[in-house]
Amino acid sequence: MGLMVHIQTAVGHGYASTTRMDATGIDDAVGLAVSQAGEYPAPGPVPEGCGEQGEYRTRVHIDPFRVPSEEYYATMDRVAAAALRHPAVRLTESFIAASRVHKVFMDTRGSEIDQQFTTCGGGIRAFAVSNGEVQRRSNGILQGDHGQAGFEFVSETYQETLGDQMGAEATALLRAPPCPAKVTNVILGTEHMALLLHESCGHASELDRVTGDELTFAGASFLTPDRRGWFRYGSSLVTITADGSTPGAMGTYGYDDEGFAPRRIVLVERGIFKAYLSSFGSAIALEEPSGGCARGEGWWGVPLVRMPNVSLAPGDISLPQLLSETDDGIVMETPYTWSIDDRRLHFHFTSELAYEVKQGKRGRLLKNASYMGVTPRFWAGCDAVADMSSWRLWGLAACGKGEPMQAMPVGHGAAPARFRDVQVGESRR
Amino acid sequence: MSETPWADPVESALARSEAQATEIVILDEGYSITRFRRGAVHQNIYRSAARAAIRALVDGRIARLITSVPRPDSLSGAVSEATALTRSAGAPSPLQDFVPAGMRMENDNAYPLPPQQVKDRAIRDIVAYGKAHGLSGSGAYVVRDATLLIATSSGLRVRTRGTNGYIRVVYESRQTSGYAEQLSTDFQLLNPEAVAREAAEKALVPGDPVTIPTGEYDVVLDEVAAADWLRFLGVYGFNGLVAANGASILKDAWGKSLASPIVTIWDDATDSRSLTLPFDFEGTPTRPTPLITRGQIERPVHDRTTAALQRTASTGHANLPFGLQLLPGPAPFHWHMAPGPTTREQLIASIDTGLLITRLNYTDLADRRAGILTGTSRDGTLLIERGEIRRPATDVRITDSLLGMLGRVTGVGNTLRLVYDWWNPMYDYSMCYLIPPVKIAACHINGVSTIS
Repeated sequence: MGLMVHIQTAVGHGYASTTRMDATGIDDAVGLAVSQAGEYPAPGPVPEGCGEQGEYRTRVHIDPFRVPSEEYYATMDRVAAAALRHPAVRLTESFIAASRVHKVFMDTRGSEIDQQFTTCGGGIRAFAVSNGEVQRRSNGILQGDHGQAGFEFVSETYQETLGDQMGAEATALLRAPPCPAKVTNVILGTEHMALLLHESCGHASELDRVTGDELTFAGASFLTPDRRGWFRYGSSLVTITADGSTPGAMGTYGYDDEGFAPRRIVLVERGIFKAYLSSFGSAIALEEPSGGCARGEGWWGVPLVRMPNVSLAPGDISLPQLLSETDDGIVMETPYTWSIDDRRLHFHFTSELAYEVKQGKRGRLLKNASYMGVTPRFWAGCDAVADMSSWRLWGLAACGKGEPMQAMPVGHGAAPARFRDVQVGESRR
Repeated sequence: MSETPWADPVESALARSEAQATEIVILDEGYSITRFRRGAVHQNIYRSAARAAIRALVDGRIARLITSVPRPDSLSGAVSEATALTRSAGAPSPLQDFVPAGMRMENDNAYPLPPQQVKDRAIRDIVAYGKAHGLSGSGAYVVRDATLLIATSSGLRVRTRGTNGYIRVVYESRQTSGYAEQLSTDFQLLNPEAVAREAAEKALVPGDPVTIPTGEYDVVLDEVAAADWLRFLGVYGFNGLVAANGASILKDAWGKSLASPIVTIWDDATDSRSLTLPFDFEGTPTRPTPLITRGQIERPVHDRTTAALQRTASTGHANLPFGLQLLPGPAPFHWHMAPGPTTREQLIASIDTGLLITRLNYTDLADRRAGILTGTSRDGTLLIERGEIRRPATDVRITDSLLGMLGRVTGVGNTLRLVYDWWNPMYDYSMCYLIPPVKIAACHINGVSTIS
């Protein structure tokens, strides 16, 4: 438990945070915030929100903090045991995580906002071993899958069938050939789409990266203001939105940490870059109202521009049809590792599992697959997006940004999509 | 521990603990950070926080509870909660006790904190220096003061206090940028002008950035980039937990001479040139630990848990129980690389066509089994031709084998710099490196960061 104070003086602005919640501690924090203000003017006035009084609560059916820990272990054991039934699987790692955050925001304009966030999720990793080779299968994007929900999310997601799938696929990968190096069509499954949206669009459209706030650490963005409104970010099939009100998604909230309600923002519309994710302070640079995207990890973290739920609009072709219309390509499922440059242009992602598509039919399983690209060129090659029947939402528990680094939950929804002329290869070459 | 407000509450909490063994780790930290961008301060924060990590051992099971501690007298309640948690802990722990009595240490490495005006003046000077050279300045100035205290029911009582100051600067021109940083335990040694000058020199290399074809190039990694490269050896290589699981990228390399014979690296948290830490986060005394000796890969590092798993002794590398970790498990946190006989200028002069890389971004292992590193350069990627820096280059992607790169080190600079870890700078007890610039032959460049 702790508290953050943000003040503005005639000469600057400052923050102070403390774990001392008594009157003396709070007084000290105000004093320290004033002393932090220094001699430099703030980029804009202190955000005072809209003076709203509001409340937000995650909809929870089964309170994870009333579920006995034995149920947590039993759930993990069931999933892990299903993976371990495959003889080549020598090791599993699994976890379940539940969190509850209670935030209260007040400002001198009369805002009084009370929010309580409950998240639940977990992950399973199965490692199959043979002749010194290790292959891994896991679920979700980078850290499993999470939702803003109660324990029902865990019960529904983490079942034996998931463990069995992970074990079977890890085992099959041991016998698979490596992904060949070539330029081909790539069909990204929803987990890879979530990663791609996160790294190449979500972060790239954060306005504080554009204004330079994050220049020394997280980096900047190639989506500069002079490109807004005309720049071709992707093909005409690409429409990407940010929405902080998606029910059950990890990046959903009632108000941001400057007191503003989130808005649905169309970041990319039919391939054209349209808008930024913004906070009150960053939006001043564009003389616009806040996009309601200022969030801090907790009482210790200055609110930064953080993506809420950044998702790709579904297309109008079923996934089976999309695959049947692919003469030659590679399907990538589940990210393994990821890297992207400081302007969010050149990325290199690897995949736990991939398989060939030949004349519209599923071909060989492939291991150690990677692909790379440059963001606008890659998205410009998007020539098919599957429809709503294969669209799904993924939850990421911790996205890092800021100095000192803060971790925030975010959500991403997408259907599988196909990209032309992508450089693929073997991750270890 | 008599001088801290924690002494009596810690003793009281330990005395009242109903666990068979109890460990209390307190991190009482204050820091201020001022971040500025393109000439204006946009973030000024002072954080004062005390956190506790408590481990309780009951019937062979260990539970850990991490909490902020609003008041010292709230510790006892946290110990009780940790003890209760052991009832629902999973498998028995290989660790059956915490660090016993034997070392009582009160260590103070703190330097006087600079007043806010010093920070303000430094930032003003950095911004002005940039302006005078047509550059826009962004960066951060951090002042940190932390006390770490560890006590166990077996009698261990250790405490250390340390300070550090950190300045980082990025200058931007129309098409280029340059970066520099300085980290010091003594604020008096912080030299904003020198940091500004170094960053500006890189941003001011004349010419438009040239896009080089992909291929193999000799590179000089300046200290910050070299540290980024080494991090993965620690997290995925020397980490005793991944080694115990058979997943270390060095699992086939122990005892072998796979690095260049001019590479010698060790970990030493006792060296006063680094951010010293006399004991690790379990209270085990730290000591110099060889990692690579004249090219030979040494052994993994351990905390008490991985040491128990491997039937060896802790090397004093227990990880911080707070904050973001790239991967759990013990790792080297105070890297030292032996300097070579060569100046940085001579390293550059020895390259016919290659790159000077200032800094890397978002590095990761593209293949965690084979130890393939990938990451892009930023803020000072410079083309070297015929032994001289000729012009800026477009940022590139390096994808190469970590061990392979170690084997291709053909030059080590003769100056050392203390740098923070890219992944987690300024946060708690991040990794730090006392490291020279390094020349690596035939680095695999497989991409360029350009929109056109």
